[in-house]
Amino acid sequence: MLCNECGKNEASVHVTHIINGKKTENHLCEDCARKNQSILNSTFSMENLFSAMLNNAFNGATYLPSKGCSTCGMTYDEFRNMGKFGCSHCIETFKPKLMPVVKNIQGYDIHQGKIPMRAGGDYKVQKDIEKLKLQLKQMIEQEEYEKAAQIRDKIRDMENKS
Amino acid sequence: MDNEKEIVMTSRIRLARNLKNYKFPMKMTCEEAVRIINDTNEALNNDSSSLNYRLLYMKDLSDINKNVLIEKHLISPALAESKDRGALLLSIDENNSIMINEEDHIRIQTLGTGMCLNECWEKSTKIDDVLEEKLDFAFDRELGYITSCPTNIGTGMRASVMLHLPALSITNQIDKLLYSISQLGVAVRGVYGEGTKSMGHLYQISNQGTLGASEDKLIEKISQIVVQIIQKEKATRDLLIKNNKDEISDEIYRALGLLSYARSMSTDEAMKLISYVKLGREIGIVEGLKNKNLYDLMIKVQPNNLIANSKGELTVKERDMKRAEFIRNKLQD
Repeated sequence: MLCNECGKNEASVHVTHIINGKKTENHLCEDCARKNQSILNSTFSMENLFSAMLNNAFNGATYLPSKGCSTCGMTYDEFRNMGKFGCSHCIETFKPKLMPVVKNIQGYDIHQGKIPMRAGGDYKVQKDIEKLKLQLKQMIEQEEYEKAAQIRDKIRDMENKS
Repeated sequence: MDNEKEIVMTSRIRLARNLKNYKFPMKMTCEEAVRIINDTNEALNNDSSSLNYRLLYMKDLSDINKNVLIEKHLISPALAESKDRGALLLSIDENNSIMINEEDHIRIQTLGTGMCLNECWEKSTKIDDVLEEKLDFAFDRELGYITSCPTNIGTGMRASVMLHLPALSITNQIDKLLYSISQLGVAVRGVYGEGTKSMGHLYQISNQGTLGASEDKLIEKISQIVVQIIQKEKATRDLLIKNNKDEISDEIYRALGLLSYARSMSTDEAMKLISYVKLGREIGIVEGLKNKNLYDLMIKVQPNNLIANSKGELTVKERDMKRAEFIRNKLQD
């Protein structure tokens, strides 16, 4: 892919902005990216790109935590520079400010995938029941009453257990 | 589908997991790193249902051996650099591996030949379950599996396929294609991961986002895109045969000639020429070579794989000569 700016060199820096659901993309070669300081800092690793986004997202933020993460000691500034968490507890520490950034990077802010058995605990059961209820509705709509009854029993079982 | 086997070289699923009660690799101490290696090893190797895994400490491996693992896509360059902290659990068939203390505490990797993302996911989620029985994973209801970098958060899953796209590359359509698929939330990487270049017309594509969709949905999306790329590559191959058969035959036979007789060859040149011959075999120009695994040959001609298979150190010149000899022998037997 060629650079958007100069159209000559191979693009090696790809920046995607999703702002209010509007997606804009920039594909730049290193030379043009280096010139384009508003998008990037001076080096181009993923972490630097990410921390550049963090900086942009929080310019002018009114609230800054005075203390860092109580488990690993990472401060918000440190996280902002590195683009990486120091431990799993950092998520809780920085969560209010983190969510919009995650949404900016990932396009979403809620997990829809696998839920671990032990770490997920009740939440996994709750989610599994939700999924079954959805299946139950579909079966009723398709007039598959026998299957629907089986699913209904399964849901009852799970609800009784939890 | 035959076309699929010719174009999709390998599929890979990677799951990133972290332990709740340990600091992430960037912040942890050496003692913590050792404890995580031991805990993970025990969780996996004490489970009767899993395969046997060899435990390799990065500190015990020579640079060449580490680079061989990188060239075989079994570890990342970052793990190789982790020195006294990093380790690898590797199944005997080398299709399943667990990197310990890379960017995340645990990275489960499952590799398969051809288009088999679903099978790889089944295998890796089982390994994940076995590990979770013994280890406390960091998980958040909203954000899913917590990873060191927010770009992997959620499922922690990267599903990638290695595609061989010679026809699209030769006809200069590849950049346009890669650009349009990058618009669909798919990342295109070089042969050896982020920031590496493409060699031998090989491209690695994978999901960009890891949050907001289930693993199945993410895999389905990649699979759909791969099917379309296969169709484009196939259509371009048909056009090459129809409109430019003489030119492409000449290119392919030149490549075969060089591979069969040259006395010295660089990695880049070898990769490119093998790619041409592989294309030639698949579009019916090159007869024979039917039983040769040319993708495997592309990996074996990488510098460190070559050095590891010969005695003692090699200079660049010696290595290029060794490579040419190795290819000549492989094509002959």
